[in-house]
Amino acid sequence: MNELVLSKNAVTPWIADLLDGGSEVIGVKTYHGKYRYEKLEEVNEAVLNYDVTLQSPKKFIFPPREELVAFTGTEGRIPARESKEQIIFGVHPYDIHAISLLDEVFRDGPQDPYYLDLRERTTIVGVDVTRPSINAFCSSMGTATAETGFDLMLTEIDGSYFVRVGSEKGSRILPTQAVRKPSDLQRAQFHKEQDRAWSLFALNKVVPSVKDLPMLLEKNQHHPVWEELDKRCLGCGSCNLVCPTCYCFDVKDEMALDLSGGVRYRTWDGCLLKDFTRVASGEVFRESRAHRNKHRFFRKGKYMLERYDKPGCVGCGRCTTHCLAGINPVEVFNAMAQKEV
Amino acid sequence: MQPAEQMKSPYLPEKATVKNVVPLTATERLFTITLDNGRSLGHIPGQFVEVSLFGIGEGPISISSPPAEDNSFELGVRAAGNLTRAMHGLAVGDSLGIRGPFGNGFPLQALMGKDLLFVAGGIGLVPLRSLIKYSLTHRDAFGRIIILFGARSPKERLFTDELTHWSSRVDVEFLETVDRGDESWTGNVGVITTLFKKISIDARRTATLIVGPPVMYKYALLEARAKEVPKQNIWLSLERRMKCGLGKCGHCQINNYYVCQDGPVFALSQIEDKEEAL
Repeated sequence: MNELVLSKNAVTPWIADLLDGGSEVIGVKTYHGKYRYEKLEEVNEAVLNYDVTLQSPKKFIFPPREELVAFTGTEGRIPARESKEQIIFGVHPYDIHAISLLDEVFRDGPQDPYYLDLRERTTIVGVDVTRPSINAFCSSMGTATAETGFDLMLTEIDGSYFVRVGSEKGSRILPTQAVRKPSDLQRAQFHKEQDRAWSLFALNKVVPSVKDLPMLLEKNQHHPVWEELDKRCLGCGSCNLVCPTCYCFDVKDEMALDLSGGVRYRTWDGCLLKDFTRVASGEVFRESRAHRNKHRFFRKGKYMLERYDKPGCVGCGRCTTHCLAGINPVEVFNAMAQKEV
Repeated sequence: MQPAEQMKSPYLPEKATVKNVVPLTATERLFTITLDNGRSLGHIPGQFVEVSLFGIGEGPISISSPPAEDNSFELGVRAAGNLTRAMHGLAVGDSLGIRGPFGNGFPLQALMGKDLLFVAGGIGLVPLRSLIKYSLTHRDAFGRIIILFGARSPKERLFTDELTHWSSRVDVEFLETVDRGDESWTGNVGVITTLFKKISIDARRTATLIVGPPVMYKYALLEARAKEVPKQNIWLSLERRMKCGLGKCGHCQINNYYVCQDGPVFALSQIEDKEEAL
């Protein structure tokens, strides 16, 4: 992998160049004391030392509303699509892992051309975590750092960024100035920072290892923790909305006001919502919140891992942060590990 | 923005035309459909299509006919939701959209040479009919053909001409019942499971194919198991909300299965340990 060093004060001119380059540049901005991904308008808006963003960058490659078919009367066609390139700047390793999982999902079996088209036009510039979110448990899920899934990856070392180039796309947007080969010392500092990243998440630790989660869940289908979640969960679906690896969607039609035609679009859906499994006869296949929670945790800890060989949870902790009932995956997994039934 | 003509989308339905509409009951109709591009749907019994009416939406509908030489296929549809109610407004010559076929269908190879015991509860006859008719067309490829059919009431019996035909055939054993009779009904009264007592089968060579409302499976399975049909020879077609048909949208998931891709037909041995299946 090609490695470079970029002085910290070269970052701002670099982003200025990117903004001038014709691509949409999306970065992390402050937002009422929190952080969120947004289109950058000004150079100095971008934050790199954030803890976690409210939403993951998922929404820029898998939009909350995406038109699939446009129709006039009974004639359907694929809607016109945006053709602009986009650069997502400052993505944390756990979100990079989440995007890699989404890549697998939408490439596997019948491919999803909408996702793949947008993904193809997206360049990901990652940055390693320097201060962890209070609810994150990335070291437990194997996502504290990333080896692949980025086009460029920045790691802060002593007044500079150590830059790894992950793809041709990444090398195309490298800043022309202030880039040089890392020294042995800088490379040693980089490795030290990578090791340190894994210790940042020591506060929250899932006791079983990722590879043991499928078996743990399988053995604990009737663990009391599910009934406990039934009582606490409000069934609001916030966890689904903020999860970087949730990708379930509904498909809906919307008519134009003159009724001459309209669009069929997909929109994010959530398995914690009761109507998620409802069929025309009225039957709901996951009636209780215990059951719906169980489905979500099995998907994250077992089904995705078995199907795609990657855990369905990247440990970002956003679901814990946003859950009104304080449901925390670390506690759920550990409850099963501590007292198996 | 740029036109996306070069992109191929699995979400873009093929245009199709209603060739015939036959009322089956007060709430069910049978539509005969062909694709406008002349393509054969290329389905096998037990698969489904996504039916699309632009502006209303899209939904999964079982194919009710076996593969036909004239490239047409049949969909038996109960007016239950927005889409199916709108479908009931379609007349001969009207357009609709079709995606598919989707799903695995019935395991024809595994069924060849076996006795077939069909258990159809109400609208469950609609998907099973594709295989019943297939097995009658290829009659020599199968052993006994036993059909058990249960409807809630005489008025809700589907495909009544075909029921009469099946009961008249010497190479088909046909038994039916209704949950509640009426003044004109002289046949069996009782739930479908009562019909199991009236038949004897050779469990080792019988494949049982069960389709019905969710509540029926538990009881029908008890009867099939009481007759000692092996779990790998009991096949069920499960209803879920297959929205995309592509194993992506998540709505049809039963534990780690996607019904739209891995099903809708499952052997009991595949799903008996899946808490969400039955």
